Amino acid sequence: MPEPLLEINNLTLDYNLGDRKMRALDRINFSLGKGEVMGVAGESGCGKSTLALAILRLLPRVAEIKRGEVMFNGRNLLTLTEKEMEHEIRGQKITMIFQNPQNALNPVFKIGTQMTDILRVQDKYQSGGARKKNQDFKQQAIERLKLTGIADPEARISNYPFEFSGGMKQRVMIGMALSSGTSLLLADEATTALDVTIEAQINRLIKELAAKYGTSVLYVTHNLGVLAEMADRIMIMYAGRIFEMGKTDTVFAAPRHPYSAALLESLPSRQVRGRRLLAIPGFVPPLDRLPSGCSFHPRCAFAKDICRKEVPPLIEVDEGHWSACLLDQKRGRKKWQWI
Amino acid sequence: MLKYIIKRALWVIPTLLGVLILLFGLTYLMPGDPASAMLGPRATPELVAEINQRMHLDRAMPVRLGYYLAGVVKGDLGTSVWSGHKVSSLLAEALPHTALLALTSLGIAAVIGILLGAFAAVRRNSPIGGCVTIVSLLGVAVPDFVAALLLMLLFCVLVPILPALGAGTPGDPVDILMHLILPATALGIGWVGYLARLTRESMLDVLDSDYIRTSRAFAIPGKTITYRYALKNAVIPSITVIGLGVGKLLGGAVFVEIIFSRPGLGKLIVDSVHARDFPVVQGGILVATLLFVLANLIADISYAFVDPRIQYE
Repeated sequence: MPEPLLEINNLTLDYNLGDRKMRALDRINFSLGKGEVMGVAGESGCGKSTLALAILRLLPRVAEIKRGEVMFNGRNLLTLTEKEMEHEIRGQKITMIFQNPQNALNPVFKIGTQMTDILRVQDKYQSGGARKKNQDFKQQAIERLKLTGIADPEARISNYPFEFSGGMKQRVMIGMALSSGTSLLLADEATTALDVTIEAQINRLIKELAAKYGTSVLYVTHNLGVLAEMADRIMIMYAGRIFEMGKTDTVFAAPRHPYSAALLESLPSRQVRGRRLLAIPGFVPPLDRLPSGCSFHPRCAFAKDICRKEVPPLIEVDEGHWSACLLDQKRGRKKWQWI
Repeated sequence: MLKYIIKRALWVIPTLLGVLILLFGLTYLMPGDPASAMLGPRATPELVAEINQRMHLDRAMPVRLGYYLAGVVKGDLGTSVWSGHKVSSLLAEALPHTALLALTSLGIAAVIGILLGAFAAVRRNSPIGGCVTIVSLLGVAVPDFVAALLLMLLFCVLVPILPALGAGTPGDPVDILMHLILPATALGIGWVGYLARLTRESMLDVLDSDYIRTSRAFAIPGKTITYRYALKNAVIPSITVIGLGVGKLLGGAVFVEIIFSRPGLGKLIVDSVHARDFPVVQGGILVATLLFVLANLIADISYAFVDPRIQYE
């Protein structure tokens, strides 16, 4: 495994909504190597986006980090001051692409203005603001657009976001997020709002640029199919916890957790042609009313008494392959065939 | 854009025509007639008949309207029956006072109200934010004529530091300014509250939006985010309100001008109503309508400068 860039230790986070307390992240542990692409998958409301936002400390006000650390290049991001985050981390070393490109750019400012403002901030914090001219930043913005494959960037830079399609807006975001200085890219459902052909183009672009700059990627999605192509390793989350983590090929070929198996069986593919796809019964429980024991047990076809009583730990069941299922750990069950 | 402006400007004509017809109907219903108002107790039937004939008051309504419209087209709004001056020159004298009052109070209200609202939104959980909310509620709740009387009592009677009456000596900017402070404050205070509340609400929405989160993710400094990126989005509703509110502002100006004895358009119209000086009333309201329509047009056009998504066909 490559040298770790990001190490998350025991990260636990609550959302305090009035009298309701929701544990959105529960003892999250993982590390991400330099240049590695880690996929994060799971149903809606399982804490994927919260995890990405927690790394950059861009959480909504109601969120409260209870314990844990986010080690980035050996520094704990959770103990940095807001100023240090702004000057050294956000938009410099760690950048983020958001779910909905339609709303991710400010509607009343030109693309070029928004890009040059960001470039100016990056330049100020990186080289101490060596008095570059506006024209230089504009040229730089045009180059970034060109890099992401936007045609005629010289003219496009004077457009407003509403004159761009969703895919083009996401290209702008990628152009801003990926540069030679970026160590870690957080892609939070970056292609969810786009149609399938554009999705493929955008994902290829992310992969190419990340490889070019040696950037690590935390790729959050609910689309497992995309991860098969994008990710070196994947992490399956459920109700704020990691259920399974391992090499993409390994997890896809032999999932050790029934939830991962269910997610994979609900994917359409050539192998399951002519068969009904699996629909996991029920839905992700509300985070303030989690079931006892393993939080997945009410929906799990294999659940036994023990699953209702004990919370399964996440342990390394095979080399580099982690899973949190009691039946696997205590009863030695390895195969999960839902249908 | 130009085509849109011309189209909108042409719409002014039917609007004014409608207002004029309504106005003629109303003066018809009003008790008292200009001839006896002019002549007072010495009115003889012959003199009354002569004046009525000269002013076409003996003719049917549509004919009178026709005469009036012909005059308006030629730029002749008639003559005051009270003072004998031309209505157009009376209006030209009064208009600058009202325009100065309205624009000053609107300008102050817009700047203070929008900044207060933005500030209250940024400090939504601090006591300062709460204070702004209370102050702006007070501003909305107090009618402008009450504010005018209270301000006058406070700064002209209890602590006499500002002049109470008139519009100041013409040509003396300091004096004009001193005479402007109280009326402009009285007229604008409700607007400060209203705009502050409006801006606070839209600012809260904008600050929680995805594109502001993008700015934060790229380490754009907080002040730049608030006062550049967020505020431009948050003022859009305020522009509509200001444009539509100019009518209310002109109405408020009437009260304020009467209380402070400012020789403006509102005072001219009210005085003329009392004096049954119909030509002046008609001319005054015609100009007020024109101002209202123009203000709405300006508001609509200014959208395009703030929000590029709006384009005019």
